[in-house]
Amino acid sequence: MTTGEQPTSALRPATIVPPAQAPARIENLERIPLADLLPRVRAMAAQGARLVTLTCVDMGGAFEVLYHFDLDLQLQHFSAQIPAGDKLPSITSEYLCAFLVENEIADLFGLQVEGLPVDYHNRLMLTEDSSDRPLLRER
Amino acid sequence: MSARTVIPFGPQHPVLPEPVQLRLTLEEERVVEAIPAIGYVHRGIEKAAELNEWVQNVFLVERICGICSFLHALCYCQGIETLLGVEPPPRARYLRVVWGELHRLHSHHLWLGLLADSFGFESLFMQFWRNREMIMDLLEMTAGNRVIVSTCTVGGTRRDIAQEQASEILRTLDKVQNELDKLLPVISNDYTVRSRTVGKGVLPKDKAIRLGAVGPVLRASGVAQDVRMIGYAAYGELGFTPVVEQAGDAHARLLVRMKETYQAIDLIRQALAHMPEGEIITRVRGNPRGRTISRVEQPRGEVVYYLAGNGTRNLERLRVRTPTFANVPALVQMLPGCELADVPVLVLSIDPCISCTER
Repeated sequence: MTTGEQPTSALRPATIVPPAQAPARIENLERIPLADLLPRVRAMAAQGARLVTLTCVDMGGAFEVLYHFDLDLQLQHFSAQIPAGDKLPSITSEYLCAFLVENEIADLFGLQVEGLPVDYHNRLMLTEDSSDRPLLRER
Repeated sequence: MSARTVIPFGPQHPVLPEPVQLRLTLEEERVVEAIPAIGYVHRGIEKAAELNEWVQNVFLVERICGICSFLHALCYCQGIETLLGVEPPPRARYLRVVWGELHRLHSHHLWLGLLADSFGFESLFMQFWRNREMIMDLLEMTAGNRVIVSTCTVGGTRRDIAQEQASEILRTLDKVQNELDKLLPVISNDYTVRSRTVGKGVLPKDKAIRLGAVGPVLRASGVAQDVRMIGYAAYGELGFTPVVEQAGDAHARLLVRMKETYQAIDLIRQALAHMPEGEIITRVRGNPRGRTISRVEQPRGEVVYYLAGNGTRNLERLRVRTPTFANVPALVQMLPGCELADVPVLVLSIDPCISCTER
């Protein structure tokens, strides 16, 4: 078999190896220290950006919280890391609408949020008798 | 100050097809505060998506919402396609527009009927729902199913639309538009419709943005923002401009959705007219790696998926922000100052989808 020739079906490997490519990345994603979070969020509010949502990711021993903003259909993301056990500052002073998603994160990840105007005390999604943190990764 | 009363509006209420509660604080007949309570039907779909294989998730995310099932699948598939670095063939992108707009068309009909029902306009409700059946028949004809159509898949679509089916779609859309022409004057001018919606639940432009409102709620407040403008699927080639109203009240939200039904019909006609011949699916290999954000405009507004893959068959994380979840804070801010009797109409004016909200 010369180079570049296709192997015959009998020799074809069972698993197809995909062409090597770099993993996809989120554009306009900026990692920021937690201390910078509120000033950066305030700056986005001053520009008239819309808060799209927050995404929490369990990293094992720490959480990554992504803040997604939209300004004229352009997305801007901030990523902050927070060790498990620490409290996440609420951004509701700038974006009141964040109260719902921050409560959801508190429910499903057990990450405590500080400064919530409406605090459901981990009972937004979960039942009264639940002590689960369903979105924590099983390790 | 008069005495305050707290009324639990829902989770079971004649106007709500799905369970959600608003704890309304009233001064006599006037609402002074509304606190939402959700979680009655939370299904843990984000968790299930980590446990399933990424191929299976196409069918899982379709079940987030029965009304815009195709658009959930589309948003998910576009995200996975970015992670895998594949492009769907041109014909598949046009087919996605057709099914996506058929979903928007039947969803808006459903809502227009429900809104009429919320203020007791039963004949209008029935006319919209009768119209909607024609669109459901089109979905059944092209996909084999009325609600969960499962035609979208990673890399393209699972079905094609044949020439005779396309002709039937066009014939039916003419009938649908004919019926809509009779209903548009009722929506715009009828005394009952106007007296229950004009000036109710006004959401100014800057407040709508600050509260994170999306979709028809945002566009009815004068913000020309629609995710279809970024040109996913074939929208970039179809000449799309969003429907915008300025008043920001319940009637403006009604007009936006009514006009979007015409727009959806127009987009389907355009997509069928310009649809190129060729393949409908690009076969994909490997597993998703990296992370991405995918956005699609659903009937209720922008849906956002965060997808993270690690090169295995399971995703590391799938996060879904549905439009109703984004519109609840706007609703809560709309209610103070209104009369208790207007609450059902205002709740419906955001087109709430609780199964989306809870996931």
